Amino acid sequence: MSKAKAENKKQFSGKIAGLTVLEVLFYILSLPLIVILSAVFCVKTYEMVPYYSFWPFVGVILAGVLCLVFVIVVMCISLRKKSKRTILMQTVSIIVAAIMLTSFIAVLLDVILPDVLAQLTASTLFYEDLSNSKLAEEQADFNASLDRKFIMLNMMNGNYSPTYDYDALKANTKVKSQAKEITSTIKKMTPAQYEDTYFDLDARPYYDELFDFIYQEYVMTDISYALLNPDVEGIGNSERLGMAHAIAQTVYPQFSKLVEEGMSNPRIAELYENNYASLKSDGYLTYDDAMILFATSGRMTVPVVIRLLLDTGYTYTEDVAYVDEYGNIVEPDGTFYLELYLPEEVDAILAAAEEDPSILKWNKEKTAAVLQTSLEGYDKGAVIMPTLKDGEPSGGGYIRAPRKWSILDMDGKNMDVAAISDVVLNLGGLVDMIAGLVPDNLSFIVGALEFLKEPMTLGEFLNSQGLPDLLTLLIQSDLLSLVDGLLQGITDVIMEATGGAGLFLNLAMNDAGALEISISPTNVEVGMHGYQYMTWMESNNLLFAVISVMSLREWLYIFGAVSVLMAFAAGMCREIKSRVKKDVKENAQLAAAAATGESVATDDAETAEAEQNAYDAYANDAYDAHAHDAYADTGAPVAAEEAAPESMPEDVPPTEVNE
Amino acid sequence: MDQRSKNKVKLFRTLKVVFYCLGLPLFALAVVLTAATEYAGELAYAGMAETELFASMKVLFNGTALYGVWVAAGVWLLIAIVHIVLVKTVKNRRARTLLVGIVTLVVMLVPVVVMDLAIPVKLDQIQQSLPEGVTLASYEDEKGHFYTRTSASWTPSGKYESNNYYFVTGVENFLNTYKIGMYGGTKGPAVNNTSNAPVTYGDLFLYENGKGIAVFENESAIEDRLVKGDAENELTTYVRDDSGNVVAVVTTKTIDEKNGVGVRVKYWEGSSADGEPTITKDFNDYYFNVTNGLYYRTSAKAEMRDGIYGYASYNSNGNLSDGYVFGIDVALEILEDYYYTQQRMTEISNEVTLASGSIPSDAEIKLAAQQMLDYYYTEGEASDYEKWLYSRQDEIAAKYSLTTDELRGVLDALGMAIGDKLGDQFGNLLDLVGGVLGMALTDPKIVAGANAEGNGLYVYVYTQEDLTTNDQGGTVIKPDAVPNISVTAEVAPSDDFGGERVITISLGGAGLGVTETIRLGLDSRLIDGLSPLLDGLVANAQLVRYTTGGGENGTDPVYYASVAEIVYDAINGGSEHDVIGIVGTIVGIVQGLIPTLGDIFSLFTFDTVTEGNGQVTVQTSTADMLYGVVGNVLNMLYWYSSAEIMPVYNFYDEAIAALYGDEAYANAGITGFGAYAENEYKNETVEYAEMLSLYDRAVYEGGMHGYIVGSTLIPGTSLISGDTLGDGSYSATVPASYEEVVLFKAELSYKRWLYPLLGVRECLVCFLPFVLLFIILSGVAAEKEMLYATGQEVAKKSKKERKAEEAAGGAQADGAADAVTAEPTAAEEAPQAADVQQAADMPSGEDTAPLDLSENDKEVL
Repeated sequence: MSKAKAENKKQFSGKIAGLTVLEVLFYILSLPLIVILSAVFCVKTYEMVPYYSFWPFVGVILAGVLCLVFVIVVMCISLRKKSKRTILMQTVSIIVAAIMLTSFIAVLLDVILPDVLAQLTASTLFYEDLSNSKLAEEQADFNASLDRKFIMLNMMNGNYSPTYDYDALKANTKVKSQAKEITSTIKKMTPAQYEDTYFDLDARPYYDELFDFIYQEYVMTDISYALLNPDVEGIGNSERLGMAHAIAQTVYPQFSKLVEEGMSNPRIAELYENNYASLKSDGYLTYDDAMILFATSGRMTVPVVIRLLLDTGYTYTEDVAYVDEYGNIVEPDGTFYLELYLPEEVDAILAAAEEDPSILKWNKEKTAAVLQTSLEGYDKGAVIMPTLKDGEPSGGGYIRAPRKWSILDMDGKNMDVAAISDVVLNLGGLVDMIAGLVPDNLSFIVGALEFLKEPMTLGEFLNSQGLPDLLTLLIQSDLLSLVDGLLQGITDVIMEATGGAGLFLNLAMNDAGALEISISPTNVEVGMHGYQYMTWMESNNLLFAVISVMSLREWLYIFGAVSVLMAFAAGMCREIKSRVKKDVKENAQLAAAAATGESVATDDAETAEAEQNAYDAYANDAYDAHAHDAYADTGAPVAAEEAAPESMPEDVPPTEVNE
Repeated sequence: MDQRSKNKVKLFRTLKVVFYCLGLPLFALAVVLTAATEYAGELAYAGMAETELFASMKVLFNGTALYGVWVAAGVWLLIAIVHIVLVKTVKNRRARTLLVGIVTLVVMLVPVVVMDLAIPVKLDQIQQSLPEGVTLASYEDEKGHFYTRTSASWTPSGKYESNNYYFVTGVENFLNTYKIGMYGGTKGPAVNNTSNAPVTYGDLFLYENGKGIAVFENESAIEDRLVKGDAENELTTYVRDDSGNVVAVVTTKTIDEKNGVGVRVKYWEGSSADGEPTITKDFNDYYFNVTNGLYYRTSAKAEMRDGIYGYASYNSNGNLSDGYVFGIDVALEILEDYYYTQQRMTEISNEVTLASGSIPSDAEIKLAAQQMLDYYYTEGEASDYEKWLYSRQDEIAAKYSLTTDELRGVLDALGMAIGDKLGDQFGNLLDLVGGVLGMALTDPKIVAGANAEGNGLYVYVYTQEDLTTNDQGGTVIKPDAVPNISVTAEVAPSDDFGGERVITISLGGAGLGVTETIRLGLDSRLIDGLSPLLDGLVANAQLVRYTTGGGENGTDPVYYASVAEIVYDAINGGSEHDVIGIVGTIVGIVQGLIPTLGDIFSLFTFDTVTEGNGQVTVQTSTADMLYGVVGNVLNMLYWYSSAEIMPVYNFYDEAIAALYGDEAYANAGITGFGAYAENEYKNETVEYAEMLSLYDRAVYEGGMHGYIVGSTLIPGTSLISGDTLGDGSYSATVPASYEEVVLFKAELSYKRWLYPLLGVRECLVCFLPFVLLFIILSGVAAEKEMLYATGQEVAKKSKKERKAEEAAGGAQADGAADAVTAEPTAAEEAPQAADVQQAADMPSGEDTAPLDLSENDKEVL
């Protein structure tokens, strides 16, 4: 009998252990799972911006805190020894806690965050942009790409280091020979081979971004390449693609390193801080009146554009730098100098200073000087910082000076004016007519026009051999010089009209053979995004925190529901456990009573069997009245039932929790 | 209690709740659904949100869409309160049910009756205030048509073609056409006017001893520097000269830090701030902008307030601020002024004309008003600050508009850009063209070729007298001959352009009628140089403009002296020259047929003087006329408007006073002062001027200001802003006459609250019987529940059960009764015992709640 008893006890212990495991499992499948999901998202985000330390993990931290609170609540409620509430009511409390820590937080986010986020970001980033984990992931990717593009901008304009300046790389013999090699390779390729060969992103992450940037912003605006006709079908012009790839491949190792370091790289951080201050104080804030808000609300009318371009604004920076009595260059408080790598201008100023040393006032270390007169488009007070080698200027350098920003710099995006395609020139009749009019002694002119007799596309015209001959005859100039002079002239006129703010007109023959005309601000030249993206970058860490929190939103809703079920299931486990324990205890009492009197001389095994049947019936349908009846039939637990308070549901064991 | 009775209790308890829900809650739900589908989310019923924070909720709760919901909620609440009171006071269940029903009937009917009585009166009042010809729909009509049930009235988009639908779409069309919102808003919280720039020290103005002074206007060290500040602390600025030496120190401190108002400036001449400041002044009329750390003039800032067009963002001079985008009410006010004033001005003019009288013309009024404005801001009642500001208007306007000098600067930049960047190419081209011309021209009187420098060409035209025969018998030019016409073109440095290369085309010679060589270029010289050339050609042509009575034949011809005169006559007529006179006549006719031509011709502006003989002398030079055309075109896109100086249309009333000889303006120098006598329709003229002022204001605000913000209310305001409304295409659904505007305004004033109320009225009427029915049924169900629960009623056994019982026999029946419980029998026999047994017998959960048996006996009828 004792053996059967022991086995019975062991069986109960096993059930209790199993129920406990099940209970814990149910709890784990509720709120803690959000932490895991959030962690997956945050790790992916962190990999994009490893330099933002803990910020991308704010979401997982929040999830962790919520989970911790949940665990504490569960422990406080379920492990309390002297609770007067029933297990059912405790379960309800846990369910409420789970809902408050999940769905209620999501509701709060939905109610409070949309307008707050819009206000904090001046209506540049909206809650709807982040409202699910997919969108949040896309936004995170975009925000990380802002950092990468800022690095590209400042590598290629020479600001990060003169080594990576586009013009310097373009003139580099090694790069040129590499470009030639790539060009000849591309000529033999199909578009698919080209893609496979040059854009293996597993081997070179972000190479496509770097290449696109160099190709679109530098090569396609470089008059040497811009008007070249596509020569490889489906790919484009091999010559400029070759140069873009050669440059991209040359700078890629350093770019890749900087992407890892991001804003933790001192030079990148310094450039950001210094140049953004100029963009903000001498740029955006000076436009912060009625007009700039029209731009963001779909009211950029012609009069508004004209006002934004032509109104005489102000520049916050008024003071100029000077060399103090200790030989240090001082940029007074309230001045925001933009720092740019400008080799030609520095060389010109240094050359002028050789003839007239008074135009520069050097600091005591002779590493930088303050311009004392207006020269090369810079006013007195500009700080010249030549590139030094062995303490001597080695050619090129940086200039720090106040900047007159255009309204288009605030936007920072190129504006496509037109794309002219499918133009075929058929001037044979016109040439014949001219030939008939021109006297014999001017027949050389007709000869120069002969190439126009054959119909040709615009691209073929611009790249035909006859055009340079004609231009040489007429103006003794090549096409590129003519177009370059024209575009620069237009820029000069715009600067005069706008009081010094720059805009560029670009002409390019794209890879589809269409002539593209676009207007671009000076952002690429100065290595800056538009104001909105620069501002995002300023608080990118916070934005990543918001993004990581927002990635939780849908999970909080979904796991709010899951948590309710899981907590309820866990509560059922607890109730069953409680009943089993009670049964064990009561059986033990009955056994003790049986040992002292014959009246209860029931076979232990039978009792155990009856108890087991009762338990099974209850466990199979704990809230079924039949289970209760079956239980009652045993006769044993009647006392317990009688002791139940009236308010208790009749099928729920009125057990107090004293586990 | 047996199981059957228990089931009955459950049944009636459920029915009680279900019936109640089918009454007032269902009515309230219907009202909410009506509001949600018909009114909420519609712009016509939207409320104003002052800030963006939680704007969607503010729009809903501040609007009228929920008016019906509030009424329904009020009805329900009132009935519920009465119900509760009755539960506590009336013990008889049936009486209580009856009372609740009566109260429900009254409470639901009262709003209906009140609406039916009050709203027609209100609509009548609105109708009385409307002008003749504008008729509102009657209340009964609105009640019948504010929504529709007819299936055929459903449009494909699923909307009712009801009065509500027409109203909602009418509002939407209006807003979409003009690109505006229900409520106006500003786009510039900080400054709100483009010309409201941060102030410099030279701008700081204060009053001392009743006299206004610009304290730092002559302090050269700081007068042009921005007044910078810090939100909380004193900010010190060291002013340095070109060498970096400190020449002055200035500190600023916001006086009222909490509100950011006023600035205290301390100024020290010299290199340090030791000792007493040279100047310490408090400037109270300025405010601090935390965003950029600069100070602004308070009177240049706009504020949301009530003004001429209602609640909107106004400048201190009464104009709408640059950053303001119209709300529907303001837009309608402007449109009403625009249409009404035209109608009224026509009426007044016709009235005076029919009486063979005359009133001052628009031009007279406007000229006098401009002079009055000038007088007001120079010698008139304007404050010292306003006078000082007025004296600087040209300087300020230059920053926010394109002056002729700036236009010249841009053209010169173009010339220099071409000369600098493309100088070689152009030089080579000219060289080639010169060479080609030299080879191509065979006339001996014309000599052409490339110049010696290889950067240009020359073409000389001689007369026949300049030709001679050389020794070889060929025809050549005499060595000392001077070209009758000389044309040279070259790309060369020019002193006029700071030594930069520019393209210069030189024209000279007697043949062109010019005494000095004229130089043209692709720069400002194009206009400046071309004008005298053209004028010279005109003068040489001796085109008769008009004749006087002198001379041998009684006619002394006066010739045209400039192109400007020809253009003036061509536009205005009056020339005696055959061709120009005919052109002038044709232009006059065509202008009448095509009004746009008038806009084009108005681009040509002339200063004229009318001579004693009635002839008009044009004093504007041809160059000024051409610059004027460019400037006028640009002015349609880019103009300056002060936020503080009042516009000229504010002075039309004073202009009329002056024209009628008001002695107060005797010294104002008004042209035509006292030209009209008091009895010459002064009252009509005063009203006419008032209308003209409103009209001009409406055209400016709705047209020019609207053009800036992308919401042009007044079509055809200028040649540039065109005939389209807003920035989209014309829509026939917007009101386009005075009557339509007034009707739309009136509808907007009452339909916004009327339709939501009619919606709830409809629900009140339709739901009233059902609500009453279900309240009664709910009461009955409650009573039945109580009767079964207390054993006062027992559920009858089914036939099957009765047969089974009969078959079972009496003894078995006793045994069965023992085996179950004794309670049902006890309950049937003794209701008093129910309270003891009920907890054990009733089903679990809330069904087990005991009834108050102490009251049950009183409730049973």
